[in-house]
Amino acid sequence: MKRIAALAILVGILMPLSANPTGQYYALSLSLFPYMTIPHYQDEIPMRTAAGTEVMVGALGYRFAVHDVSLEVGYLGTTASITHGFYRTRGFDSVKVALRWAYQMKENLSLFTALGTEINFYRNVDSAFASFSTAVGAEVQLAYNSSYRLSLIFPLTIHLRKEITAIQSAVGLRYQIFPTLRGGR
Amino acid sequence: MKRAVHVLTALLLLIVLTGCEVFLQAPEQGNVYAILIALDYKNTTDQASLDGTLGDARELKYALKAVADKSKANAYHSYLFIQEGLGHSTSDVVQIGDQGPVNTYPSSTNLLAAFQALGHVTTAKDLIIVTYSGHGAENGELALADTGTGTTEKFAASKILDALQNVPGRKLMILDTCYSGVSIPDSGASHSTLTDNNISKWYSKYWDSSSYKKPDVFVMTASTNTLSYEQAITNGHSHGVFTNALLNGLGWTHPHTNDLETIAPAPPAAIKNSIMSVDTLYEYVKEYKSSDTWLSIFSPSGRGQHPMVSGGSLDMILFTF
Repeated sequence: MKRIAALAILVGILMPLSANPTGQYYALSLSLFPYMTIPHYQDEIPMRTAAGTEVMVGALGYRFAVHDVSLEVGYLGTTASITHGFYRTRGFDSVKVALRWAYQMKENLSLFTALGTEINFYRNVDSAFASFSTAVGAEVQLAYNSSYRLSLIFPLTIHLRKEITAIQSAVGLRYQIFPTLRGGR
Repeated sequence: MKRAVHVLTALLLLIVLTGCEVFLQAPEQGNVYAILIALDYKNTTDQASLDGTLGDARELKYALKAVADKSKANAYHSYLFIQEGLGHSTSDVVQIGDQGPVNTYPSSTNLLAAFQALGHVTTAKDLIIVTYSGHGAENGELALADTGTGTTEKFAASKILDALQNVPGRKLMILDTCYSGVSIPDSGASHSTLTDNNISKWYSKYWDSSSYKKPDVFVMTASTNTLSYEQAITNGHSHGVFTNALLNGLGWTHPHTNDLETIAPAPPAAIKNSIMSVDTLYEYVKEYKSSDTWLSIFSPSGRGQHPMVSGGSLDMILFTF
């Protein structure tokens, strides 16, 4: 019974009740991805595979009619790579800051790009490094009302580390909350 | 829009499925060679004598053998280089592969001869572990054996690392000395959070001219730039605090009999997902720090003993099971 009630509340929140929301918003994005590392040094294999997750919080976001800009902070975590041969890449945790811009192409489809920088901490070995990242991707709107917007996101991120260039091809969800009701377009 | 979703899904699958690890055959494991160096300094006046070092080397020899025997490694060969008691030399020699006999008194001459001999014996598939239990100085010098001069021989750990560069195989050097962390080479791509560091240094490292190479030698040390300690395990039996944690990670438990050859160690606690790597071993040693002994020497100010390991993006696999 509780499950049904929770589901009903969720559907109630997500059902499109009004026009596409605009204005200032807060956002929460969660994405999962394979993390493919291409080393700049000589390695046993040309690319190593790990997995990762990213949680971003948009504290300063604003959605115009078709443009959407937000400054986001978040966490990025990757696992160690699959062991192959005598080495594997180390897993790490990161604190990330990114500036994101999205452009709504169709009613339910937006394209976005982001630029970010990270401080990364290797999980086991007390060592840190800085990095930069850039992302492009598509955002498919799943549901919205005047206060909320839920999208499926497909960011393709290039993680620019000093000794590695990594590719993250993620699938995720982005949830935006519009605290002030400003009406539709 | 459906088409866009399909294209993105296909791209994602393509990237996942082209993971090199799936298609490329992993190289087979080779032999394990361990060179275990320890000094008690009872024959010299310029260093305080140490009680736990000889036990460190002797027990590591058997602990590593037990791990190697359990792993997929082919054969295990170990060589003790020990300075014990009042003498300034030894007649003991070891044969490293088919190379000529090498005297086991831990002077720089003998150690370099041993590494040179190893260089003719090992292959890229082999694992070479070098351990050193003894004194170390703030400038990264090790106090090697007094050959009768009245003082120990000050020998930079970096010279041993240089000598190991010429030995084929993957190499791990383990230093249980004071200030041992200063001997860890700069990774070129990351910055230790245990030494003086801050966010501007991390960004400076990104832009500076140094570069990262797959390390020829990984280094794991007992401390950063602080003292390293010994602890009494049982009456008359001591170890370096770091080496005791390392031994535990390898499955070696205390108390034990004096006949080390007959000891059957427990399954190594530092194995994770069927491998033991530099990082799994290091992680175990760090967590072992939470024991009473570690806590008593670990200070919140950061001047307590804290192990350290080579930085950078790669972890080296030591044993596969």
